[in-house]
Amino acid sequence: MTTVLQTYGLTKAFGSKLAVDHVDMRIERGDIYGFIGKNGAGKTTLMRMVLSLALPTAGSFELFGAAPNEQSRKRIGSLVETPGFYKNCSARENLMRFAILYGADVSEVDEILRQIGLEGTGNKKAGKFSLGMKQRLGIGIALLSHPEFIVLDEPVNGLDPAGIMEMRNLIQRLNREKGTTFLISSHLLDELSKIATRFGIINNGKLVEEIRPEELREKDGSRTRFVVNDPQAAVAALGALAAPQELSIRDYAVLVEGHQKEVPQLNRLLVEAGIEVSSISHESGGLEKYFMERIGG
Amino acid sequence: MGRLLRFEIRKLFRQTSFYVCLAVLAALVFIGIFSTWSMIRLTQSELGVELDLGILGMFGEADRFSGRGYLLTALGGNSFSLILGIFISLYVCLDYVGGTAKNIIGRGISRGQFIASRQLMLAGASLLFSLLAWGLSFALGTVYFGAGKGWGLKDLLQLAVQFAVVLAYAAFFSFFAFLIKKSGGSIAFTIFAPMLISLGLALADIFTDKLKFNLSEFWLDGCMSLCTGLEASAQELIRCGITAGVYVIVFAGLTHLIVGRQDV
Repeated sequence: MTTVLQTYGLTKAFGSKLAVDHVDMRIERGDIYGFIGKNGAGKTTLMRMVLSLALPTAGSFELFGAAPNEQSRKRIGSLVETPGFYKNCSARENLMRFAILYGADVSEVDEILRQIGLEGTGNKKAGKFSLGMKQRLGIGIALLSHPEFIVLDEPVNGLDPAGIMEMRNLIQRLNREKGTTFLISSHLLDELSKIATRFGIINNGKLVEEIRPEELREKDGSRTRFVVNDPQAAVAALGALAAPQELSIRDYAVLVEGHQKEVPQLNRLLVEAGIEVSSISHESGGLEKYFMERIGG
Repeated sequence: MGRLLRFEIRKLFRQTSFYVCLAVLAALVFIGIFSTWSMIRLTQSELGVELDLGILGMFGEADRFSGRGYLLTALGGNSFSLILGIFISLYVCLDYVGGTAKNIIGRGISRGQFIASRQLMLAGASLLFSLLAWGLSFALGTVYFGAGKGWGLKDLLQLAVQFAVVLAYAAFFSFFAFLIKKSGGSIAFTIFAPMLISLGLALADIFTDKLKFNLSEFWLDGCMSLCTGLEASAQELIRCGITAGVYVIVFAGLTHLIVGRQDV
């Protein structure tokens, strides 16, 4: 069994408005699934249905290859919308309570406090925390009991740059060392593109596309930039492999669209033509550009 | 369910509002009994005579001023139900206001278990509130006026029925707290709804005088008033008990039926 989440026509209506419109999506074990969409696109609503916080209007979904039940839902950790915690309790007391509820080893609490950077908060009440600290506490609660699948809705909201990097490292480490699967929504596309192994683009409740990073690089207008001493000659030499519309000149560089896997061959063509190549680099159209094109923005 | 109850017990006994409400209840009980005793002593000293407390008892209730009398009337009046209602509002709404309901239901706890655990805890908390009111009332009443006489098995029936009415209040207030999900709104409901319902039923009784019964006697306040009276008959107590039981079943059931199908 390799599928952690599979949805079948999952739909949620609020009155006449379809917040989630017949979504079929699949998340494989070990994925870091980046969920991208504008505000109000349906990301949070779909996450809430997966967590059984919202009841679907139509459709269904499977968790770990079967219909969701109490046991499969215990294997999921989450942070959706704002972090939930008891304002009049310290970070440690919050984690202790949920450790008891989730059946986690209470010895995990201090380790998680350290992982989320709240080990020094002592008896300070969580209601007095900064936005970033509250977010960290929410993530800490999601990590209790080592869930196999973690759903994070805007996890870096309120975090400073150091916190964002820590969060990224934590997600990657859990994914690498424990095989934890993630479903993450974020507006920081650049940040998401650094860690996600798959992307799902949602717009007006519909899943527009699911795409892997390597497919994205082929489609997102990525180009290879060769800085050469004679751009015109370089274009002529590269014509053996690339079509004329794929080649362009900018300053002392030749830009080649596509052919990401043929960079060594392109370089050999230039060298054999006696053209000096001073640098080769990759220019990405980027996830943001591709996302805006797909949602028609 | 065991872990859920451990979680709820830890939450209850670390909730400041629980102790504040208990303290306020204790204070009101003490002030009520002490002020009555003080008034009587003052009157006696001014008149220079020993007053017959049986005559002083309102509506001809003999033995009103005694440990037994205060025990059996401890839950009467509006203070007890108001304090209980405020606590229930704060307890039920805490997980919605703080967003922790997502952490609970999102991790495999079913809505039914979520609601049932709270209902069990509120029943336990209601028992603690009742025991405090009874215990303190009996103790202070005995200290100031003596233990009293006329003890019998009917007293036990009366206390049991009173607790049934307390559970009915708990079911009623918790149902609306689950629906409203906000502490302020729920507390406002606790304060105004019973009052308005009592008023409405009293007016209805005027216009339905051909009925053989009063509608207001079947409302929670009416039941509590009846079962905290020293002259309540066994038949009236049984009727109150059955009425309270119906309220518990209806409102506890409605909570599962309606709240159990809502988004969190």
